[in-house]
Amino acid sequence: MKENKNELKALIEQFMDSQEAARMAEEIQETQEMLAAMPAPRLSDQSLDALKQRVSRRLAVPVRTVRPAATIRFYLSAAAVLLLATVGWVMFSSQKPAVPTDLIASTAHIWEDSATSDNDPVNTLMTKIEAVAGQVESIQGKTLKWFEDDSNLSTEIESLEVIASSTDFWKG
Amino acid sequence: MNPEQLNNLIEKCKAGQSEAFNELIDLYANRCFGFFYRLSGSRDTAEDLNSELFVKLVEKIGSWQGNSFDSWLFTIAGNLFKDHLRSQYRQRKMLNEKAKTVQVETAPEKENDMEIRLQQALGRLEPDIAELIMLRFYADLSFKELADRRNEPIGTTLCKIHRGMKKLRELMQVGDVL
Repeated sequence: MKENKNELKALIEQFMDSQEAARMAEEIQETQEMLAAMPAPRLSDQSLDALKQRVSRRLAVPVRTVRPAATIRFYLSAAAVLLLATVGWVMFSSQKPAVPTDLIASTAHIWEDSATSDNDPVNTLMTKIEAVAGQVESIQGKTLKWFEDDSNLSTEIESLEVIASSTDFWKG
Repeated sequence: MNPEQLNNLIEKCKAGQSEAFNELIDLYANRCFGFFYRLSGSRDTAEDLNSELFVKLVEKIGSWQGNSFDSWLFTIAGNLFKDHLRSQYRQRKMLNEKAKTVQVETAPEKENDMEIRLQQALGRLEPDIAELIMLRFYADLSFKELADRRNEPIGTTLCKIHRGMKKLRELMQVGDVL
C-alpha cells in the first residue's frame, strides 16, 4: 500500500536532509495528484463481459501443469545423454591395452631414422619390424626367466604369507 | 474489500469458481486496463493485454503464495507488457522502421489536450521508469514493495521514480511534447 505524505517524507529523510525530503515528497505527491486528476479510460461494459466470457471459457479447459514442449525437450535431452554415454562406453571398452612404456622407449630410435626409410621403404620397414619383434622377444624372455627363478617366487610367497599372518593377527 | 475477504475470494478462484473470477475481474480489470493503456497509449493493445493477463491469472492463481496480491498481479502485468514491447520491437526491426521509441505505438485515443500531453510525456520517458510510475499509481505499491520487486535498494527506486515524475511534469508543462 502506498505511503501517505508524512510516511513518504519520513522515508525520504533516511536519505537526505529534512528540507530536501519535504520538497521531494511534495513533488511526488503533486505528480500523483496530477495522475489521479487524469484517470485512464475505463473498460466498456461490453469489454468487461467479453473478458468474463473468455475467462469462463478458459476455466472450462483443465489447466495443464506440464507443458508438452517442455516434456519433449526433457525426453530428448535424456535420450541424448544416454546415447553419448553408450557411445563413450563402447569406444572405451573396445580400446586396446596400452603398449608398455619401456617397449616404446626401446623401439623409438628405429622410427627416428627417416632418411633410410625414404630410400628403400619395404626393406627398411621389414628391418624395423624385425627389430621390434626382437625387442618383444627379449622382454618376453626376461619375464619368463623372472618367473622361472625360484628365489623370486619364494620371496613373493613369503611376502604374501607375512601379509596373511598380519591380517590374522589383527583378527585376533 | 479487506485482505481477509480478498484471500477468501482468491481461494474460491483457486477452486475454479467462475463467479469468483468474475468478482476479481470487477475488482481489478479497470485498474489493469489503465496500467496497460497508460504504458501502451492504445486502447486496443490495452484490451488485448488485459484479456491475456486474466487468462494467465486462471493458469497461475494456484501458485499465489498469499503475499500481496496486487504486487503479484501487477508483476505478471508488467512482464506481459515487457513481452509486448519486445515483440513490437522485433516487428519494427523486421519492417525496418526508423522510429526510435517503441513506447508510443499508435496515436492515443485523445479526449482532451491534457490527456494527449500526458500520453505523449509518458511515451518520452524510459519504459522502465514509466512502468515504475504506473506501478506506483495503478498497483498502489509502496516504495518498499517496488524496491523488493526489482531487487534494488529502496533509495534507488525512490530516486528513479522522483526523477521520472519530475520529468513527466516538466514535459507536461512544456506542452508540445513531441
